[in-house]
Amino acid sequence: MKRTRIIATAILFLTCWAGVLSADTHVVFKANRKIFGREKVLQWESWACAGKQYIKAPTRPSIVRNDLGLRWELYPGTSTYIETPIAQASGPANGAQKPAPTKGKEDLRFAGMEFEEVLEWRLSDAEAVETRHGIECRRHRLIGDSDHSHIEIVVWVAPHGRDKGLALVPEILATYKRFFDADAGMAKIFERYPDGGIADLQAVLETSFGSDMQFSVEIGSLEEAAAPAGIYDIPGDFKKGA
Amino acid sequence: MKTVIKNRTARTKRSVLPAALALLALLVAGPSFAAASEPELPGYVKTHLSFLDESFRILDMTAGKIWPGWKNYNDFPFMFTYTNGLNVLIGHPNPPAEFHKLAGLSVAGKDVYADFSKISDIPQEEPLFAGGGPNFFGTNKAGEPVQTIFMNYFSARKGMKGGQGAVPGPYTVESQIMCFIHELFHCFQMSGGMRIDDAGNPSMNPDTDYAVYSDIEGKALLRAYREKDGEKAAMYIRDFVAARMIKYEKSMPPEEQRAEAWEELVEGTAVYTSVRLAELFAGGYDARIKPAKPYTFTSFRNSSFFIEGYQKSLQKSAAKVYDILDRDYEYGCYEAILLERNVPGWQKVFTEKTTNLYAELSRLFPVRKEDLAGYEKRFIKLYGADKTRVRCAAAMKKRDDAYYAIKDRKGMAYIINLSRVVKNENAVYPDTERLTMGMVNIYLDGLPAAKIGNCEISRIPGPVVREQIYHIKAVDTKMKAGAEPYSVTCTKQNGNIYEGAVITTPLFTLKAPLVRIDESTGRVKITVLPVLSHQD
Repeated sequence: MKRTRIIATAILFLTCWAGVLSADTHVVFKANRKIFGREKVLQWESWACAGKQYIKAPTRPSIVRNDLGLRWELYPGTSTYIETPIAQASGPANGAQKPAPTKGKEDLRFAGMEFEEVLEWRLSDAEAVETRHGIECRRHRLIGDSDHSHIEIVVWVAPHGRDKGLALVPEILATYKRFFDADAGMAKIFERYPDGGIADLQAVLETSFGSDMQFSVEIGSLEEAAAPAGIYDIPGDFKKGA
Repeated sequence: MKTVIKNRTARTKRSVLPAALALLALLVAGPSFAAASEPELPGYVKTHLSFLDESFRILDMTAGKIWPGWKNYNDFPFMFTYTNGLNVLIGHPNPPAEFHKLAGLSVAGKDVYADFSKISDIPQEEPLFAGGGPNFFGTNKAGEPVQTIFMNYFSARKGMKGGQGAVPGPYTVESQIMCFIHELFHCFQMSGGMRIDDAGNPSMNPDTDYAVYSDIEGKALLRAYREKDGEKAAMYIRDFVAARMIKYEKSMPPEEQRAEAWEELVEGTAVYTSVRLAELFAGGYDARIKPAKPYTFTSFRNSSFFIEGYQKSLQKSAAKVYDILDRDYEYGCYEAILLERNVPGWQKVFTEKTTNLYAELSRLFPVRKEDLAGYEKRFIKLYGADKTRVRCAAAMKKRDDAYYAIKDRKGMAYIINLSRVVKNENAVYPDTERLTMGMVNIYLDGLPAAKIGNCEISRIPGPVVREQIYHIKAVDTKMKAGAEPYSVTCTKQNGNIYEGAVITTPLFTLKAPLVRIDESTGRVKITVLPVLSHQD
């Protein structure tokens, strides 16, 4: 469900790209997480042009074809792909209510064991105008708070960054969902900047047990260039998988 | 919300002099100033390092006798963490950049590093005791995560036995050494020394059946341990096995049975290392350390104190109604000891296959299912099971009623988050009576006024809950619409961060040098923050 929301967000941006871009945009993002002194840096890459995007995630590549209403997840190890209709992939908008739990007698043997940390988000006004990687950005502070967790994200928003291939960041952030779920926070940014993208982002998560976890996503490189031929198409030798 | 910012003149005056001196020092000392300003390692850390050093020396003498094949205890770094933010890393192959090597210091030939960047003004009241456990910290030069033993220090006066304190109190240096060795044994277990069925911690609340049969199990283990006659001892072991069979049947889902068996094996054999050490050093040994007061150390000449202490712990654990986790330490330990008495080389099977202590005991002392009804009668006669049931049922009702009383309260919720200034559960209202349901501790009569970390909290009327260890939650169910939920006076405000804050709510007053207040619908969360020594 959460993933489909991200896909839906990405698709929304892609829809708006159509007819805007005249050249391909190549962006490389570096996603960094530091937990208990352990640092892990992952690289994401994106090629984008009107209505089409190729995403090379650390796990696997995917192709978003808004012009066809399809997303293809590619599995190079088996030369297969999975096709998801974009319309079908569109989940409920951010903040949609989960179905109410069915009521029954509570088994107290398992009461109080788990807490669902639903972060309530607030977005600050722009604190500064700063240039990041040659792009004019507005620096905001996005804060998520729940009973036992707190996250503060400093985010550099490019008001027209969607045209620069910067719509990928929420998808990158979604890979950290086992630590925190920022979908609703991202939605607040894009409510304010419908054409926006995110250039850089630095997050500090205060966990319930008092330790900090640090996350960042930043542009490694950004260029306008001709994409490799056929990059927005399924490789010829790939077969449709289940 | 009302905020009053107090005059800061006094504080400003105080801060001018150090700044001027620092500037002068910079001018005089020139480039070498940075090195000269490196904080000195506090004396208490050096004391604790000497205890760790002695622990490695003791293991050189005893590890193979405690558990055949245990040799890798030198392979695991330690991280000492203090409530004032000081972190000390010992023997890490590739310390993160914030850790600086301390010249002239080593522990069993291992380098020592410290991170002073987060050090605050929170006082350290000695004697300090540390509990903790292994976790990954940093990477080695090949980029692989490093299993590191975290030891979190807290004042020993604020309680010894908690989720982390695996050694009975009161505080002695021997108990700290046993604790270091306990955690090193966990690293041995996890690095292939034992075959472990990783079932995770038990995660259920006890019910009456669980409490009754656990009580019988503990009493039976103690009788078996103390019984000199082999046949009678075997009978008591069968009582233990039968009680567990009934407990499994009546109260515990299979995944919880696995978790309990896992916990008993992992923690029980780690506690067993302490008992064995006390036995091996009975009468004392030739120690190299002579710690000064308030630390007390008798070079294990008082080893019988520990051996008897564990029996008392077992007795106490058996009688606990609400506990489901702590008892596994003692039960597992005595299951291991009973295996040792009955099976020469009993440890071997745990390196060869995935099994657990209960499974091995029940294999040696089997009980037939059709005999369980007879055991039930024996439990009433020998262990007073009927009276135990009455006691446990009343306690469960009290807990369940309390849980329902706090569960769906509506009103303005106040949360005090102490996780940034406290690193051990024992520092948070350790002596206040509570009822526990999962990660929720319920204080029906409220909480007394207390100083915790660097903050002072007034009495909070009940019911109050403590969730996720460090989060105090009180709900004002009578707040009128439109009423201000709180007011603050402070010396300085930056957004929602307040220095020198006094926060007044309808339920309590909180005083702290630094706090952050986050407001959301129906909730005010006050996070108490540490004041870093280098913070203006």
